[in-house]
Amino acid sequence: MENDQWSQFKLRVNIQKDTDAVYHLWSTANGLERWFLRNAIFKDPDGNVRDGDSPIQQGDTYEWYWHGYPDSVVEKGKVLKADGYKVFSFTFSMDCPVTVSLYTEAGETIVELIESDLPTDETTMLKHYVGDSRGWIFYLINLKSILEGGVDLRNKKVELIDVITS
Amino acid sequence: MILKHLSKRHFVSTGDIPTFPDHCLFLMKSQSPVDFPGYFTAFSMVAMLKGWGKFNINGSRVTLDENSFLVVNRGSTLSFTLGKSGGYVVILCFNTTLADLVARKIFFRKESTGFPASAPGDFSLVEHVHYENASLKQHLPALIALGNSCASFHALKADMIVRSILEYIIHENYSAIQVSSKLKVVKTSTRIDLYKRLAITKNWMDSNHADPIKLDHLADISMLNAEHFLRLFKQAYGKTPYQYLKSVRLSHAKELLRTTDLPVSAVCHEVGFESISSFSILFKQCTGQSPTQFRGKI
Repeated sequence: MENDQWSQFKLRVNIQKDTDAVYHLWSTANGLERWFLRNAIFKDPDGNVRDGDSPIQQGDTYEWYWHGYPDSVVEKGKVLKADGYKVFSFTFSMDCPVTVSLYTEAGETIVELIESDLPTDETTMLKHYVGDSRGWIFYLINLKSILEGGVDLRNKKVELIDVITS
Repeated sequence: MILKHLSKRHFVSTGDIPTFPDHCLFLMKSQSPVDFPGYFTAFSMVAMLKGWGKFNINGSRVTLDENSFLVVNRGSTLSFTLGKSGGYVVILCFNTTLADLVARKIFFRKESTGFPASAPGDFSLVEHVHYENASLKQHLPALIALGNSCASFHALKADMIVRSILEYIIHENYSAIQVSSKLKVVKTSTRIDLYKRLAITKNWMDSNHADPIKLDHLADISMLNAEHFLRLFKQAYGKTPYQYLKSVRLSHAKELLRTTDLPVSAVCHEVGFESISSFSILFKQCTGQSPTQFRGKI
């Protein structure tokens, strides 16, 4: 495999809910906390914290905190695009863009996630490709679980470590 | 971040300064004596998670235990020995490129203060033993756990922790440059040496503020004579060591009043004041209210 082929990955998951419901869970702080994060803080370009249910906008910055980890583990990034109904994009690990697109296939909503511009140097290539794709696989499954069955698969105990659920 | 067991082959001194394309956490657990030869270092943080060790950094000897850590500048030489019962050494080598990028980002944000362009990558001012900030060291077990983990985004989470350690050290370095620039000395090497002595002593005061502290003792720690130490400390930090000690004690007293139910007299003694009346007067002078009023308003 050429190194370029490790520079991005695509994941798709099918969810039996309409695109509006799925988009809401990607594009509000409260929505993200239902399936992904312990605490999501979004700030507008002037630095004002957005209300938990107000839609995230392009140009917002974020701080994300995880279940099972203290506040010292924080991911900071920027919202690159939020079109209001089917595309949501943001910077993630190493400032790589992640683009989430929603569309319908066979009567179900497909969530397509593409993380691109991953580093392709020999030392860190696999770490980013494998680490990030594996992480997203779990959280996309949890998104499906929350929306279809209501079961939250995440580990929320700080004392429980080394599990794929956090 | 990559987790590796520290062995001598990783650090054979070739005369080149090592570079790290990713953060590397080296671990060495030993139950017997270790004599680790000198090598050229990358920009790193060195700590003992268990036991104690004697480290030699550019010819200066320091002892590290479980309550301290050492920041090592890129290009310094480091060797260490562990005593009869061994110990648990951790060396976190920062990603060379990232460290430089983060440093430059922070320094350029404060560009108006007019620091020299070479300053961001030079950490010689903070290359000493740090006693305070246990929280920084508490990150190390979490990093070790994440290095071997199957957790989701484990590599990303480890990098977040390393990044927060890195940012802390870079800010510390930034503030060290500011403070040391106030010392009225001409030679850069003298400035660095004096700053380190003052910083170690100030750090020691932070950790031991609750004990009775005498100027002579502080002067001994800084290896300066008392008058010289007093003058330099005031030049650098804008207050005397005693004024600084009082501010540390008061800030701990406020924290205890805010977070515990300890009686005021116990708070007073807990933070190192001997007399409840002088504590109360000082507290009121500095905050405008008595300790009881302060607690009542929380």
